[in-house]
Amino acid sequence: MLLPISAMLVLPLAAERSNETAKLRIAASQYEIISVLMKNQEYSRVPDEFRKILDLNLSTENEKPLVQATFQVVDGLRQAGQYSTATQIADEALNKLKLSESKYFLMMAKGKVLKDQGRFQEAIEIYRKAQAFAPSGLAPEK
Amino acid sequence: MDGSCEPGTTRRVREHLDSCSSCLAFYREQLELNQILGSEALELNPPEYLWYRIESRMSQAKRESTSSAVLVKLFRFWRVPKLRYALVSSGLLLAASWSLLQYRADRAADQLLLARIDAYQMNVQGNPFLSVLDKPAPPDNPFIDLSPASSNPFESKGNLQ
Repeated sequence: MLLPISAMLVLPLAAERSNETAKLRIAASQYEIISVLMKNQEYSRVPDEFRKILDLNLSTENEKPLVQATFQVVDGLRQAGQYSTATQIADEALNKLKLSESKYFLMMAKGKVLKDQGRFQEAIEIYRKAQAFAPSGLAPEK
Repeated sequence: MDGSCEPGTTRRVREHLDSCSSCLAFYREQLELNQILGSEALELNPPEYLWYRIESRMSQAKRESTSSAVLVKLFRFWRVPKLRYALVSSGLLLAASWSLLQYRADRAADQLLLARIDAYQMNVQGNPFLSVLDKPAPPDNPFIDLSPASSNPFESKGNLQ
């Protein structure tokens, strides 16, 4: 009697977890593809491949690796001078992510891109906005 | 004619009036005017509040004239051209210096923020998704411990001997 009940409770959770794991595996693969594209300087293909990660709709539980990946990609594009692609990816990720902490890191990444572009006032503005989403560990700086 | 002159003078005036029609007309006019002025019709009975109104108006006018006099005294220097130019130019200089200082302070603050933006880094090594996948998944049911069973306590007891 207890076995079917516990199975009913545990199985959906397990299925959900395995689904999320599968998504993470796909995201990891996509990240590898993006890394290769960046190494080969095929920057124009990066947004499409990155969008596939965003379309996986990872749970908020797994937003941290997504933010880290986005930051890495945006920063890599910035260093390569691909400012518009970097801004595009940062904006798409900002629209998709839900946690305020995530927004903070991505805004900082975007601020770096804007600063490198010479758009200083916009960079400062986004930096100030980012402070509102700063994680509790990071004290807001005016 | 009303008895304020000497009798001789009064007689001579009366004789003249008999012979001069224009002076007679003037005399009659004056007589009529005197009658009117002397009548009760001209006696005015002003209302009681009139004096208070007049008094308040007078004091108000006095105050206004006093304050305007103070203002005039205060701004008397404005009439001196050299002083006026000096004042205007020093005011402009002050405003320009203030703006310059403000601009420099703003720029310094902006530079600081830009340096902070530039210095911001996120330490990520390798594929961030793989680092999550490598972590052992927690058990689906927190009440069931899926970790391998600990060694037999009886065995360890045996080892002690």
